[in-house]
Amino acid sequence: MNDEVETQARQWIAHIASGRQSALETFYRHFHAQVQQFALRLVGNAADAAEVTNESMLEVWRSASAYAGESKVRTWLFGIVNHRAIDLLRRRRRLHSDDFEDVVDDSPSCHIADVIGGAQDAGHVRECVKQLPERQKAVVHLAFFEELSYPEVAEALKVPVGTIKTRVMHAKVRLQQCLSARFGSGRPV
Amino acid sequence: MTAERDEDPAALLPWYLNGTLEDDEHERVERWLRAAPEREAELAMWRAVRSDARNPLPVPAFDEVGWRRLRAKLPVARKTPWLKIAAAASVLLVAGLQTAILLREETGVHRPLAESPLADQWQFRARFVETATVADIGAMLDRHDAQLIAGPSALGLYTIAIPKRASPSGPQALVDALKVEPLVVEISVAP
Repeated sequence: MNDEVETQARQWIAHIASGRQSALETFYRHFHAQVQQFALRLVGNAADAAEVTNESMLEVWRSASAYAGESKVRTWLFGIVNHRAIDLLRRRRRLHSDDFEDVVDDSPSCHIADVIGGAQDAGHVRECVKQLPERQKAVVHLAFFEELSYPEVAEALKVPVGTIKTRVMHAKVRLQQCLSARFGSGRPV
Repeated sequence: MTAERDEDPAALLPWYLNGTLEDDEHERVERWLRAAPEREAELAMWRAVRSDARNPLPVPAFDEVGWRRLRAKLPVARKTPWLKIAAAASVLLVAGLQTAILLREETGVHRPLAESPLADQWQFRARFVETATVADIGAMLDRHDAQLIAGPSALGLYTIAIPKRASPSGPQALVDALKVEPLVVEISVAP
């Protein structure tokens, strides 16, 4: 988000904080697609993504007055969306235990050539990314779709920078295992 | 997580690819890649993930139904307190009326009730559909930065005010915008 849009977004937040619904509508119109994209990546279906979007925007309305301006509006917003998505998945009981703990067997057990071969196929990549735990998917989306820096990702997800790097390393292992399995051999590197 | 892992350049590959690393971090990743050719495979995997992640999923640009659902959830207390403003305006209107009558009696000179609208506002006369609720009207006016300042008259007309900054080109644009609101039956610039 360039400086001009960031300045505009901060004005919208200020107006929302003062109770102006018209400002929330403008904010909603501007950020709806980005929020829905992120939500859809995390929860995996359009209906839940719409619910997460709705709850996130309601949270914006409720907490605009608490926005201190320390982070960019977009970073702050993605934090809300991530929290709401995790909350919805918890309610649906669709989170696995390792989604919370970032525990993974990170001993590489795949042949590097399989990974390279698997990565050439967009369908395989998409399926393997889908299988990542939500917290790792959030990092992938924010880094690659929203192009946030890793300190911004950490800020949005409200975790230390080190945790973001750990998630990347765990995601790497999962992706390698998944791509390798899809290409058959599963031979050790 | 150990400090050693914190320093692992492999953890920075997504940001090496999206171009947001600091110069020294970027250089550190490049050195790490050059040191072992097989690391290019790891980069290739992330590049493929990035390529897929950058394809937008099909989502609507704007969800009208979603917006309406959201608006319905907004607490009434956070809305512009237009009813209070309207009540205060009514009191002022009555006071103005009395003053005008007294002045006319004193001077014998006819003076209109409102000599001119407030300098920074456009004023309009509007009629709303009979089924409109107070909350509906309030929400609709709020979207246009409008305030109800008087009404209803015996003819069912309300007076609403909108800051001139909302339409520097003149009041007609506001009339046009309000005309398409489902709640508005008729609207015109106040004389």
